[in-house]
Amino acid sequence: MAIFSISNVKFSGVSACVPKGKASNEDYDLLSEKERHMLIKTTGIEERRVAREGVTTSDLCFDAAEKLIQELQWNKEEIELLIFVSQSRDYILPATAIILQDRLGLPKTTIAFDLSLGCSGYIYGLSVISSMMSNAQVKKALLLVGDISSLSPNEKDKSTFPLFGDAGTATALEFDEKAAPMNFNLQSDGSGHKAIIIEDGGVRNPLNDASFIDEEISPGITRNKRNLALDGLEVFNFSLREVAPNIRATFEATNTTKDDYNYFVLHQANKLMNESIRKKLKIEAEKVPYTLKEFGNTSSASIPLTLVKELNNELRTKKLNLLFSGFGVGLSWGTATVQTENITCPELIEI
Amino acid sequence: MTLEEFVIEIEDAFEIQERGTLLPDTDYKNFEEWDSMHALILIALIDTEFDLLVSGNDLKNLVTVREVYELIQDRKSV
Repeated sequence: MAIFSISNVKFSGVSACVPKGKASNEDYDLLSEKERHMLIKTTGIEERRVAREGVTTSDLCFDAAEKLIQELQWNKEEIELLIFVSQSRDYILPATAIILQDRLGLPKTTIAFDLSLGCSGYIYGLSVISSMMSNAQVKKALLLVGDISSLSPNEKDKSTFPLFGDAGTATALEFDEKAAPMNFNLQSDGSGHKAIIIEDGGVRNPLNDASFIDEEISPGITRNKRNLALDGLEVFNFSLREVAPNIRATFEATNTTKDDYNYFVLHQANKLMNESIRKKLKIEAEKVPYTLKEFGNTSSASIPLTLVKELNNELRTKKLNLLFSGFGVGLSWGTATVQTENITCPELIEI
Repeated sequence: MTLEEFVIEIEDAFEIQERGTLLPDTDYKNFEEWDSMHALILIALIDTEFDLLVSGNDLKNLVTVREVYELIQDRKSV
């Protein structure tokens, strides 16, 4: 099992940026009033942030990164590694991280590349960036994570359209021999790859005229092959089945219990799902913050966005033991444990 | 949890105001606007109360609350 520990990397700061534009699920008139009520109650999602046309994930991450670098008073010349984790890159190619290296004014000595992951992306991104830092003694690095998810769902698909919001985040990491180790437990199950999928537009199914034809799958679910398709029940089952054991295995491997952590920051997918996971692990409600209500499911950005929005003051003024858990598209899931102390955490940026 | 208690739990979870609207032999998917949200709620309820994970497919083939309850009892006794 892939449980491992990484030393010498300090979690120095985190920032997040969302679009100003709001969409309210109260206004989603594909649903009856009663259905809207059930949807909001079950998912916990009242509002979502939606980017203007043309605004990309890298734009949101860029603003988050600039603010963070400024508050940390980092010298950009010292940033040696930039990883961009997203499923909504600027172009088919080249990788967005490389464009961001130039746009942020980072030196040509910077290593820059993309990772393509969604809900689990923050955990995987943290593990990759800190492994590289630890091995190569990279002094300063940026992990830019997020998605414009609002472009993919079909407005006539009630199973996806009301769920997703847009956000971009930046996390700053530094090589520090005094840093407490981070621990990771990463898992994958590709047999579930169709549970959350955009069928057409890749190399398996190149775009064609039929890709854009809307089809009614069932009442209230109309979409085309360019849209996100989500098997909600399948994903719900997967999460209830896999997430708690993954976290328990992390406890065991690190010789910790739930009481050793100040907060459990879970991927923000669905309130009922996260609450079920919380209850399974018998974690106190006040230790599990949420941003679902105002921001919806923001894909890989959900964990850092929740840190910035809900734990801002705590992060800036306290020493905290945090456990992050990301789970979803892939299917891919994982846990990270991170210790922070008085980190830099600017207020949420809205553009 | 008895079958009768299970019915009441479901009524509460589905926000059915009037007790007795749902009966053990009611087709629970037909009594009102059943959608996938109800399935999620039912799966979560069974998971929390019985520590048992049923799938969407399991539910698809079941019509009444009694059948769901019997499925739970069968799985739990294995």
